[in-house]
Order: sequence, then structure tokens, then C-alpha cells
Amino acid sequence: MSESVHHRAPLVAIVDDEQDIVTYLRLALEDQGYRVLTVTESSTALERLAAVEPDVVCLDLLMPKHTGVALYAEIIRHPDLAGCPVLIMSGLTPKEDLPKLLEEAGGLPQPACFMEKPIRVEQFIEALSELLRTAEGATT
Amino acid sequence: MSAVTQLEDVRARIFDEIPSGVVLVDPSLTIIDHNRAFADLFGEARGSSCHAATKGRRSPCSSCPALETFSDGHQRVIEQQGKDSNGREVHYLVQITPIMGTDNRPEYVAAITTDLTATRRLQREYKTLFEQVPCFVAVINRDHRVVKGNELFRKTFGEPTGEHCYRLYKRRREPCQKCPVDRTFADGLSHASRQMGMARDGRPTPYLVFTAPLLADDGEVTHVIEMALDMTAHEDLEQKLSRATVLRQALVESSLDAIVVFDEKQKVLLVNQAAEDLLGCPLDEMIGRPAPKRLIPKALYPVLKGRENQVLLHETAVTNFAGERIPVRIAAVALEVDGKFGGAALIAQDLRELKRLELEKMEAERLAAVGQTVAGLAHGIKNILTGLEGGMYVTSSGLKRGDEGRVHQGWEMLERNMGRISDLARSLLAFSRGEALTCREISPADVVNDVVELYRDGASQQGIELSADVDDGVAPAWMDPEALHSCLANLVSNAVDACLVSGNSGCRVEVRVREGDGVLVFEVVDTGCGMDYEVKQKAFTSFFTTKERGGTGLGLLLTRKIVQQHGGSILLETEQGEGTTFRLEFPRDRLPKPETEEE
Repeated sequence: MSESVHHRAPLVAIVDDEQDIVTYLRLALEDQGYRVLTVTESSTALERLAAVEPDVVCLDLLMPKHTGVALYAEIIRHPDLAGCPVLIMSGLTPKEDLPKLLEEAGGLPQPACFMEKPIRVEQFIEALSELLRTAEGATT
Repeated sequence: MSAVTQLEDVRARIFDEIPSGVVLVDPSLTIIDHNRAFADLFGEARGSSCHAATKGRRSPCSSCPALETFSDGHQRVIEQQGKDSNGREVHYLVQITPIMGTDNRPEYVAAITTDLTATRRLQREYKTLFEQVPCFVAVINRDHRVVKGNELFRKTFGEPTGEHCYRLYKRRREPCQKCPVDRTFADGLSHASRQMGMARDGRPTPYLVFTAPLLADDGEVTHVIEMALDMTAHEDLEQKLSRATVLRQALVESSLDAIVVFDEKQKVLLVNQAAEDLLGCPLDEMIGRPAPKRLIPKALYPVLKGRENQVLLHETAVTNFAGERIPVRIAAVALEVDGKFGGAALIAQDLRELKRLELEKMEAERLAAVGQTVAGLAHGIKNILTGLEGGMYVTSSGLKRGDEGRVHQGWEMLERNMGRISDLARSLLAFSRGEALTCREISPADVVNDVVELYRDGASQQGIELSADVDDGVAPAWMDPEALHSCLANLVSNAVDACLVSGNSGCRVEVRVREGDGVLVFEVVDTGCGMDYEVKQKAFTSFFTTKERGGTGLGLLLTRKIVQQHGGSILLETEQGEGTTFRLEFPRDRLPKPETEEE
């Protein structure tokens, strides 16, 4: 990672079809000084993510049309997004539903982080910081 | 005329008019004279030889009875066979008497002939009858020996050689205890009895036996003629018939369906146990009486009165003797006796258990749907909770910063998500309560028009054309109008959303109602986005929603529940990108029934 990039705030992408959730997380992150990209239309999400190469992607799983699982599979296989940690946010239970969904989608790897909804702002910020620290450690 | 001449004249008239033929022959066998009866049979023959006149022969017969009488002067009687004047064969009895000359030797012979042709023909016919009759006929003497047998007898037992009848028919070594032949010998009368014999292959064979006396001239019974008819086939048939009757009785008795048979005057002839159980009245109190009218749906009377052959009511109700309404499937069938209407049978299937199971099944399906989707519900609630969490964060951070805009934005988020929670709770309650239908006679077309009217403007503002296609021939139906309205409204709302999602311009939604083959059909057809396989699979089974503006995911489940409560089914045809058709099918005979319909 270049020096100039270090001085810039990390870019967090939020992909969710629920407008209120997107607004909530965007404001909370911006209040903490992060830069935020919001995407509510899942069908164009991959294109937009690949264009900005965010530092972390926060992804909802159950969305109409293009489901979050399909998008997750595309993100981890995309050359420009490889290594970008994905935080999955869902109402599904992490122990039962998520492994089943990943298995059904062709044996996808566990995401870097899973947050069960409802999402509390403190836990969210903490999990995100941890993710970014880990990612930075991995690249330096 | 002298007395002598008068006497001669009388003799000549007697000679001519006696009914037997009389002929007078000289020693050269030339016919000297004959009477009219002889001429009637053999023609005019004076001067001819007797053998030429009666047999058409040129020379005397080999043993000529006339010549014998000329030779020994004795009378004789003999049966002869000759030819009449037309060449036909005749049988006759000849009594030959010598007429003695002065030398005390026969000067002429007189032959008196009696025509036996008819008697002989009768004898032949009787013989044929004896031979050909299709049962064993045997002539039996006092010693129980068979002295003569007919053709069937000979074919079965061989030529009679004087064997005992009990040996032949029954393979016994001594006479039977109750011998019908003995009875006829004893009383000289005919008797009929059933006897069990044994066929030649050892198979026990039932016989129907007739015995009749054969009398000598003095009236004594010299022989008995016995006719034995093999009853095996007859008894087999009787047994089969009896078995069929027993079987039929057992079937009727043990049938789980109630069976009541009426005569042509609608009086009860037969009732089975299931009918007694269904109707709650003892069998003997129903037999012979007219059935109470409340037990028989009106639609069946044409059959009971012989005006129709058959009527089947898939679902109706009868009131039993205790006044209880019982749901039944019932069929009435007219019975034909000797080509005429002879009454009717009612066959009723008690549907109480079936109804109970149907309700249980619907309840189980409903509970299964609830169970399957609790996880989905939790997911929906978690999303709303996140929205509320967000609302609180935005409001409180706005307050901290004194940012009124942000406070307002947070407050709106709180309100919106509170509303979603309320909607979800309401729909969930409606679904889980299992509310009963409130049915009345409605016009299906009116409901369709109402729904289209309600949504038309809203759809039109979004560029969607909503219309109704109503078949005027659809008859009124017994349904819950509000429930049906909410089903169609939900499907129309889905269809409008599908059109919006598709992003195509000029989308159409059509609501149709028609009827065919006793099935009332509603359709909601859209040209919207359609569904892919995954969405179609989930459509009815969870709180799944594809609505970006937030749906509860309960609409289709509720719709299906209402359709099922009406005895109907819901079908889904869809193709991604092409559109979707929801079809609600209600067989008329499964729709709810008004309580008083059968009275």
C-alpha cells in the first residue's frame, strides 16, 4: 500500500436493499471518519465495487433479484476485489443458516466477518476496525 | 222285393260299408271281390292277384298266409307291410278266414285288413322320444334289473345286460332304502324324487328321478320306466346363485356406505347397518315405511319416482333422526324389475370423518407453513430492528449535534420501522388465527370488478393498464366476499409490483373470471418481471418477500389459505421476464354449502 493511501480514511462499501439500514450505517461510519460507498441495487453492485476497490465490503445476504450469496461469490472471485475483506450482515443465524447457504452456493469460504442483525453501532465499528487492522497487517 | 232278396241287399251294404277292408280271394290268389274300404286303400282290384294289388308284386309272397289257409283251412292273423294305390308304404293287420266249399276244403279265403300305418308312425315317434330324450330312461323289472335303456343310458352305461339299477346308478351292492321303483311297483303310481348317485368317474351326481308304471293287459305292473335327470349343472348354478346372493347380502351388510333401497312407492325395502348408524333409527322401524323427507335431498326425488335413472351429489347434507346435519356424498340409482321401474337405491357416504381429516390437514398445512417460516419471520424482524436501531442512532446523534435535520431523519426511520412491525404483526395474526369464512351468495364478477376499480387509478398513475375480463355467464356462488376480495386484491397488488420491478413500459394486468366443467376460475395475469425458479419455489412456503419497499411475505400464504377454505386450489404459472399468472380454481361442488340448501 502506498504512503499517500495511508493518510486517506478507509473506504467502506455498504450493500443492502433496506434504505434505512444503509442510511444508518453510512451516518455511523461517517461519524467515525470513514469514507462510505452505499449500494442498494444489488444487480449493479459488483460493477460499482470493482470500480472503487473498497477497503472492506459490508454485504446483506437476502436481497431481491441478485442475492447477497451470489454477490459474495462474485466478489471473492473478482480479480480487482481479491483480498478485500467481506463483512456479511444478516438476520440469519451464523451457526446454522450461514454454513448451509455457503454450502448450497457451491462451498463458498467463510466471510472475514459475520454480524447478525440487528446491528449495534459500537459492535459494528469495533468489528470493522478489527477487520481493517487485520487486513492492513496482512498487506504490510 | 222278397225277404230273401231284401236280406241279400242288406248283406251287400254291410260288406261295402264296414270300415275295415274286406277282400275275397280264390285259390289262384285272384281277387274275386272286395269292399269299398279295401278299394279306398289299395284301389279297384277285382280280377288282380292279391300280391299285385296290396304289394305291387308279380309273384306270390314267399310265405303267403292266404295260401297257408287254403292249405290247412285255419284262420290266421298277421301283420303285413304293403303299398297303397299311390305307392306309399302301409302297415296293416290281416285276419284271414277260410270259406269252406262243399268238399270241406277252403273254396275261398276272406281277408279283413285293418290299417295300422298311423299307429306304427306313433310308435316310431314314441321310440324316438324314448331314445332321444336328454336324460337316462330305463325300463326296470321287479328284480331291479334294467331290461332296456335309451340312447343316453347306453352311451353312459353300455348296452343293458340285466344289471341292477342300484349298481349302475349308485354302485351299491343292494337295493336302496327308499327305492322309487319299489314305490311305483307297490302303488302303481308315478313318483318323483331327488337321488344322489355316482357318475362313472366316481363323481357324486345328483339326479331328479321320475318313475312310472308299465302295465300288462290285466293291469298288473310288470315293469317300471325310470327317468333320471342329471342335476349337476343345475345344482352348480343354484350353488353359484346362492353364493352370489350370500355375497351380495354380506357386501350390503358390511358396506361402510349407508344403503337404503326403496320400492316403487318410496317405501323402505332394505336398510343396512351403516344406514342405521348414519340415520340413527333402528332398522325394523324403517322397513315398510316411507322414508322421512328430511333424510332425502330434494334432488334425488326424480330417481325415487322413476323419472331419472341416476343422480350423484358429490357433497350435500342430510338430517338424521336426532336432527343432526350430516355431510354426505350420496347417489340414487333407479332399479329396473322386469323392464319396469321397480324402486331405487340410495348409497350415502358419511363425510364427517373425511371433513374432520380435511380440516386437520388444512390446519396441519397451516401450522407447517408457520413452522417453516419462523426463521424467515425472525429474519424480517431483525431487519426491522436494525432499522429501529438505526433510527435511534440517527435521532440521538442528531440531538447531540443539535442537527435538526438529522433528528427529523432519525424520527422518520423510527416511524417507518414501527409501522412495518405493526403490519407484520397484523398479517401474522390474521394468518395464524384461522378465521372462519362468512359466506353468502355473491356475484363473482362483481368482486372482480370491485378489485379492478379499487386499483385501476393507482396502477394507471404508474403506467400500468389494469382491466377486468368477466364472463357474463358466471352464476352466483356461495363464498366469503371479503375474503375473496382480499385474495384478488393481494394478487393484483403483487402483479402491479411485478410490473414495476420489470421496468418495462406498457405493462398490463388483467383480472379474469370464467366458469367451465363446474369449476369457477379466477385469474390474475400480468406481463411483469415473472419469477425465476428459486422465487417460484419459495412463493407459497415462507415469509419470503421480494418487495424492495418491504412486504410481509404473508400475502400469498393468506391467499392460499382462503382459497383452500373455499375448497379451491391456487396455481402459479410464471416465466422470468415474461410475466405471471395466478389461477384460483373453485370446483362448485366443493364450495361451502348454505345450511338450509337441502331442506
